[in-house]
Amino acid sequence: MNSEKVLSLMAIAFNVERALLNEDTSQKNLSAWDSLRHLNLIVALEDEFEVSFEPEQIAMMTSFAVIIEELKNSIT
Amino acid sequence: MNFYIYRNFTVENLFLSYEAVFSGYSDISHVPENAKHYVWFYLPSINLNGFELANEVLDFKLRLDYLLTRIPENKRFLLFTLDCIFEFNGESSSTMVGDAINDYNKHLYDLASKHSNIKVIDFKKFLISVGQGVFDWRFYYISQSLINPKFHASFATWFRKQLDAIDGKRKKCLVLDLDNTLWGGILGEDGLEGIQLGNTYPGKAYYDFQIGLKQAKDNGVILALCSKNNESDVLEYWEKHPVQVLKQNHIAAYRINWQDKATNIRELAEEMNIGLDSMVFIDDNPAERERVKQELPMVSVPDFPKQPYMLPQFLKEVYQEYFQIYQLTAEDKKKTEQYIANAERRIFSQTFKNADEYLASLSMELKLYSGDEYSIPRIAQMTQKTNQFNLTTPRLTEQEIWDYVYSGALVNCLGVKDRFGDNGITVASIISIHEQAASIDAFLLSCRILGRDIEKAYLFFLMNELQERGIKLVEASYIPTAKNRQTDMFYDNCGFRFLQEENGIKRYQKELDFKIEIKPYYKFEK
Repeated sequence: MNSEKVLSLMAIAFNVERALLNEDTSQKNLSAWDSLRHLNLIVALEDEFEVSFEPEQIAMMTSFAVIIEELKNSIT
Repeated sequence: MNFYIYRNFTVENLFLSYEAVFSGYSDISHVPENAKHYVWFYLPSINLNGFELANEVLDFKLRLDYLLTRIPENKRFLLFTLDCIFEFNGESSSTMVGDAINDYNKHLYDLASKHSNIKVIDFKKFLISVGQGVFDWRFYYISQSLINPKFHASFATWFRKQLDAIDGKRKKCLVLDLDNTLWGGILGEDGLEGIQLGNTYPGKAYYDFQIGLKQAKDNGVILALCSKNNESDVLEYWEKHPVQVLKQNHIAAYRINWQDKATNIRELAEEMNIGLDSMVFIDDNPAERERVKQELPMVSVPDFPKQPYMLPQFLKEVYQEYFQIYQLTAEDKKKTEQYIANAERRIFSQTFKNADEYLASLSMELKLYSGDEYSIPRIAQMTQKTNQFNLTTPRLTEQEIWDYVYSGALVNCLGVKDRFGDNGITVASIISIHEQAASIDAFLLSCRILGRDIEKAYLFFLMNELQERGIKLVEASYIPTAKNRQTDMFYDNCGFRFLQEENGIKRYQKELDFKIEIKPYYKFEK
């Protein structure tokens, strides 16, 4: 999975510097990651990786680690 | 705060790029005073009970009517039309919800016709333009979002265009190529009989395209031609071809020759006295488009469709992108006629001995209007569009002009008529009054009526008006822009005293001790 791509999509969706993000980033430690921008990120991920997430997944994908995991599940 | 948005669903993401503050869901209790614009953006909820849904729409209308009584009349209030995002009809023949929505939308337009500060934004047009997928059940259930977040960016762009349309910001002129653009084939090679224009495809597509262009012209878009052709061939086409949609008299100016198109377009701009940045160039040949893009980056150059059957769609997109306006003023419709009359006027003026004789022969009628419901939309439009003869170049919205009126300023415009035609309202001015002094905050003139010294006569007329009111001193300034060079000596030439220049801004004063004499052929009518 392309971690760098995900991080750059996150930077765009949250409107923050890419340098502020890393593999430990989650909604808990990034205030810009609010519920509205969360949806922007989901849409961007769906477009980029041509996947579609279920509402249950979207609710869980609030950290970089989970996003990578769910992407792996969806793409297989 | 730029916008205060009354809403009943999650819209924050739609307005990310706008300085917007949002009401609580369905909350109409608060009318913040510091908002520049108010927005009413409600959508029917997702409700599978049709009866409740229809009642909800009825309730929106009551809420809006109540809120309206509390929104200041001098602030812009934008109302979004409703469309049903999802409807479930147990009784398939029931039109209950549809009727309620139609009734609601009609109500919005009624309100707009009664209150000049109210403008309707047709949200249905946005929904149609993005098509399928605008609603996504997943996002609805996660976040109450009725609009798929995928379309938020396109909404932001679309909304900007609606605002521009309301403010009267649009391009002025379409510059058209001929061969393979207005008809199929090449006139010089295929001949009059050989070009494709008529009842069968592909000729029918070009025919429809021309009808659309004629429509655009009737809506105030100036049409010009720029084609590599023999002029005589094209004149023969106008004379003899059986299919004539766009006729010679629909075209304000043309360059049909073998010169490069960038030079031709520059000349056209000069001849019609409009800026290159208000032109849109349409040509099927990518090399020509590229050259114009390179040499004249201020001209807009959209890509041309490869297949003729895409022409109607193409025209629609070009029109929406560059020429959309909120409300057609009668002025726009007349514009091409005026440009044509101007050309005739130029020829006519050469036969007189002196300027006075010429000006007297024009039988000018100058009708003065004060800022009111009728004139303010036009004044606002002029401040947005006028570049060349504009002393201070303020870009004002209708609202801002109303603010001047309420503050006691002298807001005026002038309708200009002569024996060649009615130019409509083409001069505008705003003068703030402070006890015994006044300052000219805006003074501008459409370039269509330049060359008759109307600007000078009108300035003197205003000075005399001020003097009658007991004003002793008037201040004025010239603020330079890339385009208003021609006005930098205007106040000097009108007998104003130059005070100082700072960062290019020139300040002037004039004492109003006596009436200024105005030539009798400037017939002012109040």
